[in-house]
Amino acid sequence: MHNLILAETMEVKASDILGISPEFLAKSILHRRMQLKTSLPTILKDLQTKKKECQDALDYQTKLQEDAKGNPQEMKKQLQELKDILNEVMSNINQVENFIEGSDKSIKYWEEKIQGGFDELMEDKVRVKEGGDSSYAIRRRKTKEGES
Amino acid sequence: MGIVPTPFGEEKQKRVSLEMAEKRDLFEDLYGMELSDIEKKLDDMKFNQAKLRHDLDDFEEQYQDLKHISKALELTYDDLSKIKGERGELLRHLRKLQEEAEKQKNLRDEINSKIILMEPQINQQLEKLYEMLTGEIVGYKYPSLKKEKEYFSRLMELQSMLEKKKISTEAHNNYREKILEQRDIVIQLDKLRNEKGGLETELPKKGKSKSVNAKNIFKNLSRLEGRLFSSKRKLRKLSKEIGRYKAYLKSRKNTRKNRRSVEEILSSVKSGEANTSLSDLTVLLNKGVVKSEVTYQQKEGKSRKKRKSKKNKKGTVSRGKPRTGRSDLDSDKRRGV
Repeated sequence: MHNLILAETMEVKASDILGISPEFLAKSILHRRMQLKTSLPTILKDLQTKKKECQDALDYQTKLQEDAKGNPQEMKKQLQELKDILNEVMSNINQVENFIEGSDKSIKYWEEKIQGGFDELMEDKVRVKEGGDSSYAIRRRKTKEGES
Repeated sequence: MGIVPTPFGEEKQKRVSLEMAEKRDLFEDLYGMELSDIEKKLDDMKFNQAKLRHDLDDFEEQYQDLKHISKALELTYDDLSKIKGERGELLRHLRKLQEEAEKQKNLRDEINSKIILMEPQINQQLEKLYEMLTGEIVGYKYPSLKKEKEYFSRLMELQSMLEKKKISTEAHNNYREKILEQRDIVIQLDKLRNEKGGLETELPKKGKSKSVNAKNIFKNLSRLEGRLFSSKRKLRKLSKEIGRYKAYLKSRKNTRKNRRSVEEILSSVKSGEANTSLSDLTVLLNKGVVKSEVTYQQKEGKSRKKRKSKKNKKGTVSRGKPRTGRSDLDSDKRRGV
């Protein structure tokens, strides 16, 4: 399975994150998106090759089972394993395709935010800063009200 | 004449007993839930448990402290001004400290009611969200734009929450300091009381009048007592619930792990392996195959057992008992042939 290593990530502590500005955070998100956009087509290609290999193996195994060659129980087990792998690969392909599809939209969104400001995303922060309830407290109160 | 139960009554009785049986099932409400939902709920409960424990420690501490200083504050301002010397000085200082401590406590409680997460939890969340937004992606779990926006907004909020929480923590530390100082003063007052033969000698006898502050303290004491007990009750209930969820999760995970397919079980039963477990039987029962297959196995087992016992019987007969040999040979021997 691929583990995508993006920009060199350092271990960041909460005290460091406290000083991070919205612009910096948005730029980091954007940077990761850009990098993924370039690396994902290769990953998708690899996954599709893997899918083909799995399908071939599955066909071969099915044929063996039809010809009744080998231990039937063992063959059934192998067939199931192959089916599981194929399902996983298909689901990964879906995830990657969806991500590639949404990438442009996301990149555009974060670019606009960096240019025009983050008001829409700062409502909770401003409320807490001005002495209001945190969204966690609001959610809890609503849950309690719902229960009673 | 006895009461003859009507058919309707029997039906009702049956229904009631059925309902009771259903209620007896400990995990009844969890059967329809997804494992992930149960795990999420369990996490929430664990978080609440940690918070409740923290609150409980806090209440306990406050309760003990208030109990200590309540004694020393059973005096009016007039009384205090009349007490001269070291003791009067100490009592005035004690009252001042009490007011300051109260201010710090109010500040802390006000922030805590709005920001319910504890400082370590906020730190943890901040690090986690930052990692999710900018860090390495494991597997193929790519966040959508919607999630990115949500995490971004939450991270920004957590920044403000942490700032506020730091003020609250500082207020809490100040409060603790004041309380500890008060404790020292109470000890000093106790010492002075013992040395000079009691406070009453210096106080004007006006009956048991209490100052407004002292009354407040008693009010706070009883309020704290109430909170303490209710928190303990809640904690007990929550711990029970957590235990129940854990037990259910464990049992469901075990069942999933151990359950074999019907074919596998049947083949092992036919081959005579003695490894049919309770969960295997459950699978067979659910599939409705237990009757034919298991009876077949039982019959086979029985016949094998019989054959073995016959053999054993023969062996014992030939070894031990006299007069079982061939009668003609025996008679020849006796005759000396």
